[in-house]
Amino acid sequence: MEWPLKRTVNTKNIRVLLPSIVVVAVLLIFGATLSGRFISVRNLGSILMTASLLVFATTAQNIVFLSGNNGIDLSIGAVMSMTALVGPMMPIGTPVEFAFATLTVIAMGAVCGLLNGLGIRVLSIPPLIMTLIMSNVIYGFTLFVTKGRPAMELSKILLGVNKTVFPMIRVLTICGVVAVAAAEIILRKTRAGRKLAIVGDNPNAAGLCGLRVSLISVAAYVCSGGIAGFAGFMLVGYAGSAIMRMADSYTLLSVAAAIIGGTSVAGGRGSFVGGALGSLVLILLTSILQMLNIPQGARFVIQGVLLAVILLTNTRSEKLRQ
Amino acid sequence: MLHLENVSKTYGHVRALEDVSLTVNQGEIRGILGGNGSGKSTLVKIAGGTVVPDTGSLHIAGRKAAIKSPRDAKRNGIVMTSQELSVMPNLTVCENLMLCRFPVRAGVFADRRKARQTCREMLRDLGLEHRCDAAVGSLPKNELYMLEFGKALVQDSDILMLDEITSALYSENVDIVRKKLKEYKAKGKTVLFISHRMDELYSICDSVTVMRNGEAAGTFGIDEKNESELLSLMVGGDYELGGRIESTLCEKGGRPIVKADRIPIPRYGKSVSLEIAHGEIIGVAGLQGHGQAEIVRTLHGLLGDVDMNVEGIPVTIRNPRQAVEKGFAFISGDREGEGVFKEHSIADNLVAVEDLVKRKRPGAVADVLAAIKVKYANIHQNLTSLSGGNQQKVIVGRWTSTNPLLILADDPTKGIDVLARSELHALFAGMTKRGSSLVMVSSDEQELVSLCGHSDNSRVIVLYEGAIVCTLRGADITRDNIVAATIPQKNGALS
Repeated sequence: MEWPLKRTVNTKNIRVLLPSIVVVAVLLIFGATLSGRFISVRNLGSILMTASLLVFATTAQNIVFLSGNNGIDLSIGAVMSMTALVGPMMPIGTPVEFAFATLTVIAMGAVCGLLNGLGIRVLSIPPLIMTLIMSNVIYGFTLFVTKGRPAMELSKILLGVNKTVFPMIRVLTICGVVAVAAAEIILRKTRAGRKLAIVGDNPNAAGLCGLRVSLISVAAYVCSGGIAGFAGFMLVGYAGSAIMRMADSYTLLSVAAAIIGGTSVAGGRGSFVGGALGSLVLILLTSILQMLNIPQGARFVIQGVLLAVILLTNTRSEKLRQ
Repeated sequence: MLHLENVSKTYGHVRALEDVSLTVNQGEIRGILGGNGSGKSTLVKIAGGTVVPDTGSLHIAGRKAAIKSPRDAKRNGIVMTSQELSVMPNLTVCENLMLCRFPVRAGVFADRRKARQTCREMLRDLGLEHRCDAAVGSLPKNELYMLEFGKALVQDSDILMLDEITSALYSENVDIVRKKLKEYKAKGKTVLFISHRMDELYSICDSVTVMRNGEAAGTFGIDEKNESELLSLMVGGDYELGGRIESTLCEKGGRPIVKADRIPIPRYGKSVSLEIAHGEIIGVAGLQGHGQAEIVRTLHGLLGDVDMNVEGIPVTIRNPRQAVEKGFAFISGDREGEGVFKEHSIADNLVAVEDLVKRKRPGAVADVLAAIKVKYANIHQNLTSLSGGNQQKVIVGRWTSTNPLLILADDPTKGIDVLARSELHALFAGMTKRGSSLVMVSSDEQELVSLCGHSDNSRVIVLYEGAIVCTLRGADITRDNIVAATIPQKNGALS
């Protein structure tokens, strides 16, 4: 056998993805029977684009889940809201300025992630509490910088993420696919990615092997923050304007999407492709409920119940396999 | 009167107790003596309700008692202390002491005044009065054990069982324990006293039961047997007091590769010095918790900074990463907690160190697995799908290809069947033949004997209360010698 290991026989990953693939198919068929418009190119294109935004948030959340130690990032929504509001305040006239602004929003998110990571690893604050506190601090900071004013006038370059490249495929969708593919390759094929999964699986054992457990887990929060920062910037480009707390819902949706995609909250197991499928499930679900003209309150209740069912089946099937 | 009849207990494959009967009379202090794994703790745990026996029955004052939980035990007048301590670190000494017997008014309200009064009296007797309001987490080890003792005493049960309560105590603490137990006995109560300190057994107990391999080897009045007779019973053969415990065989030695002068054993406030030669096998024996684990864990940088000489160069190791950099390997017996990556495949588990830490391209996984004799269907299956023994072989295999300078192993064969054990020993021996040195802690004396049999460049060191009390080499490495050394006699080994 040669190194790197051939992973063609590794059916484990596919089996994890199977439930969400099935659910996506079922939802698509169900949507199509409700209305032909549901599977129109236009509608599917918009669903894919909306899902892409959630895919970024889910990728960020997935990295933190993978790093283990009860890792969770509840500040993702706050970071996204922050960069959605603060990002457009920078001059974005030329592609160079756009690139600079993009790097800046990523850095802003990464700094938030660094603070999260340091609070968790150095001050030993539980991740749930640290990131929750962080999200409030970020809201405070955003309010301070923007004085609560919404972001209204956006540059053309930023709005360009809505452009349709092929039928059904927008710029933002391509960004999402590239991000997921890159993240998945990094996780499976590079030492950095495999270290992350090993540390998350069993931090004590990883430490004994000589891995820098703290450094890797802080890095996970930094990556999560950076991706969330970028996602917020894309969000404002997609929505055309931004207000305070506009990305709040992404925090919990990212948690749900990651778990639907087969990520273990205990760490060490997960896939970004799975997270993307999980995001698609959630967006399709919302879209179908909207089409059924169900009032918003009832929609949230139904969404909640369905989520609980999916999550239960995911965790149960795990036990059955063992 | 406490009477256990034909009690047996097995944990998985391991037989902890085999058909043990025991009778302790009212007003008697019974000592229990035995080596590691002789079943003494299991015995009191069964009477205390934390372990349910497979067969056998328990009688108290002539009546059969069904004890399935500590609550049942307490209802039947049995209270026990535990080696693992049952104190709550965030409560005060007073609150802990009264935890099991908090006085109440009108059935519901805590009567703090009365609690304090009872508490003060007890703490005064125990010499802990000044600690009444201290948080338990801040107490030194010996005071924690005194508190554990007081907490059991204050419940005023008919039968009191003390599991190695004195192992971390100073002699002035032991004097208090002795006095309190005599008082307790005078009230017509029954005490079971587990200890490995001979002088305590002689000065506290009326009688002693010797345990060996899960069986009761006999019960005697304390004056009936002298120390060497008790020791012979414990090891199961004639044992001559004053025999060759300290090895006289000359040092085999070799080029020293690691030399650590001060390995601290904080629990006893002592330190140990160790010199490890090239290719040497060092077995570390001792009763549980006498500093064996601290030696290997400190050397791997897990318990703070440690200074040592590695191949003649002075270094300070601050964390496991630096230890691994110096060529150290660590194998823990706690597979689930410190060994296995349970979400990862056999292959990922095997290459973890070489690929991710040493940044080398690992060789063919299948070849390594064949060399370490692991049976598997597919290298991509989860490691946890293998048996415990095979899992541990893979974890050892993690290090084989890195050719470690020094292998540190903390009871690596815990809970592994006999065959896999001997395969692991062969694996370790093979690594020492290729130039690694091995320091291995084990709670099973026989295991150290068979491990050391693989090489004539081997020795066994025995720890007692944080100090090396005995070094055995060559033909002196026998189970009897090791067991005897784990319980030093009060007159010293060579009297």
